[in-house]
Amino acid sequence: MSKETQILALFEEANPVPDDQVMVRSDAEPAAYLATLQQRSSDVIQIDERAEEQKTTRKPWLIAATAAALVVVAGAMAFLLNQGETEEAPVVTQPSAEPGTIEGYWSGEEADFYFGESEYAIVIDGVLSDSGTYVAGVRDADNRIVTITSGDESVDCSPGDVAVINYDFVGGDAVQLSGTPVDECGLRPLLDVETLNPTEPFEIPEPIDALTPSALIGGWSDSNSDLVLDDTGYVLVLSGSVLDRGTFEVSGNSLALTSGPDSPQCEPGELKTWAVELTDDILALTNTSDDCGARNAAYGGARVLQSNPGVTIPGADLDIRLNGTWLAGSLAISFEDGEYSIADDGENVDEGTYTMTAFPDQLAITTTRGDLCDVGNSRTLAYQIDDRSLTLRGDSDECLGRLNLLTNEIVLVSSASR
Amino acid sequence: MTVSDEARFASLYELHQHRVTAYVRRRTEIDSVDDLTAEVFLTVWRKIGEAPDGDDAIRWLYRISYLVLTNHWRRSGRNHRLNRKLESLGIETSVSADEQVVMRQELRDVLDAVSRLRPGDQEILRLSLWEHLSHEDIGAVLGIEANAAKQRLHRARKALVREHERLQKRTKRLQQSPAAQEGGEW
Repeated sequence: MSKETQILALFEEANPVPDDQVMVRSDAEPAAYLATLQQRSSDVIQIDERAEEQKTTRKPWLIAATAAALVVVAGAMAFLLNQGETEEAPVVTQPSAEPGTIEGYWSGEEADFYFGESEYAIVIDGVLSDSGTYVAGVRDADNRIVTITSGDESVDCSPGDVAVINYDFVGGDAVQLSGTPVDECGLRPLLDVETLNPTEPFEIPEPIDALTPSALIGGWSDSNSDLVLDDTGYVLVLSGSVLDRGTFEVSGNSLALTSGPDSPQCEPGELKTWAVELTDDILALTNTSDDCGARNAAYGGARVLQSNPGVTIPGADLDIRLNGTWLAGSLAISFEDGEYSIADDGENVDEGTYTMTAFPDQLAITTTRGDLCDVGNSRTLAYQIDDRSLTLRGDSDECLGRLNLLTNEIVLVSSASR
Repeated sequence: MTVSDEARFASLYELHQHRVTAYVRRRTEIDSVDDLTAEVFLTVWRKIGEAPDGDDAIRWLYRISYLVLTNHWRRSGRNHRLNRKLESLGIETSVSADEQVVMRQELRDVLDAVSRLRPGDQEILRLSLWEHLSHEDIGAVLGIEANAAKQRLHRARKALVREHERLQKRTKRLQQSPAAQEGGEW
């Protein structure tokens, strides 16, 4: 059982009202309950009306006086709370002081940070994670704290989420974060152990909404490359040749590609992650990691791709994989160098030429000779090549005899595997 | 309100009141359950003309319950923060439904980790694992597409694992810290 499964099972078990208790019926009659609700509603309406009346008769001086009173009450509450705290409570007692200031741009292992005069931003993998306002201060000679409050543009935290972070200056200019005794946003990076080094000013990225895989489905191109994402996976093409293919996942604003067994240049399982920014029909990709050397060499930096719904990807590399003879019962189909032949019980019945594209995954065959079909009869089939099998699907064929022979779907195995 | 509206309300109440009560009970302190359940059915009564039929009815009720609870959480947000402050000082505040049931430390740990997630992530986990709703139903409750619900659930699960591991690390570190053994993180 994986760690995730265990944790989810525990959470399910922690349900305070398990299903078997849910099914206990209430004794309350609907009619009686409705009468209670109607009475409640009537009371609520009366209260609402009174509140509205008060609102319309409220004088401006009363608002000011109320605000002043609230400030006094808030101050008194803060004072009382501080009285009750131990001497180790996270109270900012004075502004940040020597030997340094936390203001500036910082680079850490998990994330990059910006602290301005009063605003902060946390950037993970080139994508804004959290931003808002902060107050930095010192608790005593050896301990500094910064209190951050997420703002409206925070991506991973909710507005108003507060975190108190312990930190201190170490090794010259570096900042060591040493724990978050308060963190209302569970998605902040692991601030507990982060060491931040001063870095050059960087641009704070605009907040972007979390991506969904469906938003990325389609073709994307720039001058010499194409990226196609569909329900079955991705294909990456560089200068007209397929570089890599496999499956993909979208998590937050990150796109992760995992090479499949038929990737021409990468090993199966090799992972690439991109930080993604999608604006209308522009897909901006920033490389964050890549296990595959060839892919990293081609796509190691940043790329800006434009939506290209009409993209087709050549099947040149697939052509090689298709080469050979494929068998299904008495049927044998051979492909080689753009020509095909179909034999039934050892007798060639149809021969011709074929073309294929990697995206869409289509194989188009056209008869040039044979007894089964007329010259020029064509058929377009969807194909799928797995390790040792070839699946062809297609509902129509200009040649009825070939449609009967291959049917709507046929699975063939490579003769090399026999 | 017509006779048929009242009959419709009675039917919804009889069929689903236990689920609505459980939904509310799973998400708030026991003292507030009756009031919030009443608020849900009050809304149902006011909007009874919009009530859908069949399987959509329970989705609609969950949606209303979710919105009522969201308002409740928003209203009580400041109180909640004050309570956390008081708890950090060792002052007990009202006991939530979750806390009453949990007996084992490992369940407490998981609930603690969940409580640190974003409210939306907490809710999607509860809808999936406590209400056992499908992606389509979760989407209907939260007002999003089923695919988006699936994606958000995936993220919430990963976030929960991450937060749980983080808390475990922190607990270990605190246990090893002499200062913490004296009873405080600070």
